[in-house]
Amino acid sequence: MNAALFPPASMRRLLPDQKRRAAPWIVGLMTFVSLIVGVTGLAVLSAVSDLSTTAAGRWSLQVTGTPADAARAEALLRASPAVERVERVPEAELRRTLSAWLGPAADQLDLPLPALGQVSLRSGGDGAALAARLTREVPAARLTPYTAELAPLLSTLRGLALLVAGLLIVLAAALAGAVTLAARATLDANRATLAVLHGVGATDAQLLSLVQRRIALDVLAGSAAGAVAAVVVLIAALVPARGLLAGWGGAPSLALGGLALLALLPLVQAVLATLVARRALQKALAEGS
Amino acid sequence: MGLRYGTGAEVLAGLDLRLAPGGFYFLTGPSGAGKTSLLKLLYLAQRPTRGRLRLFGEDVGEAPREALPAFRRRIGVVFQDFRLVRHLSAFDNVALPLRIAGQDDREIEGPVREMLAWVGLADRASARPPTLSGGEQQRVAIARAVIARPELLVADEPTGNVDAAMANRLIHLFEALNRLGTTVVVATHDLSLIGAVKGARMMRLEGGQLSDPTGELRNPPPRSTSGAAA
Repeated sequence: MNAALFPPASMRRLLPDQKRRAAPWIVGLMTFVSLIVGVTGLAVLSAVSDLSTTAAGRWSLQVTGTPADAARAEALLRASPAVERVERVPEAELRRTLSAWLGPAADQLDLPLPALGQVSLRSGGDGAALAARLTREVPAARLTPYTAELAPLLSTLRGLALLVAGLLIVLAAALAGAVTLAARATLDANRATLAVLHGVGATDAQLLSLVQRRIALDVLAGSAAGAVAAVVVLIAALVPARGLLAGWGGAPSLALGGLALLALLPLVQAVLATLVARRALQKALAEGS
Repeated sequence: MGLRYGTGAEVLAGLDLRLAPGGFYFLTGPSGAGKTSLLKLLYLAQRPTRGRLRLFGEDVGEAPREALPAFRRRIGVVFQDFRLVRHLSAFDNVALPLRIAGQDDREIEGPVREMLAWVGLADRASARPPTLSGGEQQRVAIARAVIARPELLVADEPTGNVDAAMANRLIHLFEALNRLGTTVVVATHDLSLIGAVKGARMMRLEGGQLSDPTGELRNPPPRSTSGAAA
């Protein structure tokens, strides 16, 4: 059934204005939740990307032997052309960290502390070969990649991103269901008027354009309201979070492309909802034949 | 042809009926005889459950759903319960068939005002149905049915809510349309109307069957028949 998307101006008032309609509220809530979930997903993906970038080419050094072993390991690393920078964690900082866990008594305990450090490799530097050579020459030293240490976290975050994507799909399905119900409710609420229009020769396409215009306007209004509410909530939530996360390298940055997609979400929802409503109406009109 | 609703008994059985183009027909019969069902077949709100229905020379009983609106635009209908659109003014109700046919507001204005004047509602053009009396609503319904100069006019008790003078005026409107070539079918219990239209034919429906399917019976009907039809 081919129908103009919207009816001509002279026909628009043929359906009555109904003050209390559920569709804008339902769509508004769905849009609100979708945007919040979508931004959360983007933030998670962005965090995965930031962490992966940060971890790439960075290795941690641990020497459990004597200070001489630690010095030898550090010298070997500094001499390697693959290494850009070696930073030892000062022993005082290690003890301070330890005392945070064990209390003031930590200073009195004669605990053997490993020498720890952070090694940054040059681009293209072969970390695995370097780690093998280091262990061969200084058996008490271990060089492990950050990515190995972060792997469980990254894997969890990726799982979370997948969960968010799944939630968005569920929300889209729920929206489609809600719009289908709203379309049928609009049809039922106006059945008497539509029957008269049918009786005077209106085509299904004309009736379809009348009802789907109503649904499209409802969906657009709901989407816009939901989007505005989501933006307000996100700004209110993210501004304090930026300060909170500053110590961790700042809040995750959201990719511009992702934000643009999110900005389009209400519009995409409106278009999809209109198409879903159109399909539901076509079916309902055909069933009523 | 026959018609049944759902799995019930046939409300119309073995109807064999031919309406001559340009004819004027009155359909009478006791309440529950199936007059409204027969009218529904004529204005394409129902399809026969058996047999053939040909309208304007075409078989519409089996026509696809998409083809029906074009036929309906050639038919004017006056419903017994008026079926006006409550939120639209009298003007907009009368204008409905023209709007559906794609005419714009400029083209519609003149004919609708003229038709409203004809049915005596020129000063009620902006009134909505709930504020109109039963008789006024009936006149709006009639104006809507005839505004597009239909080829077939089907009216179910069109004068049931108007006084004798207005009923006479409306029947003359139908006659005028009939003279222009419109086939008119009026279901009524009002036997005085039947006598008012010269050359009109009467069909009597009882128990789902036409007792005078040829339409040859001229009005006024015999006294005994008129008693049964009232």
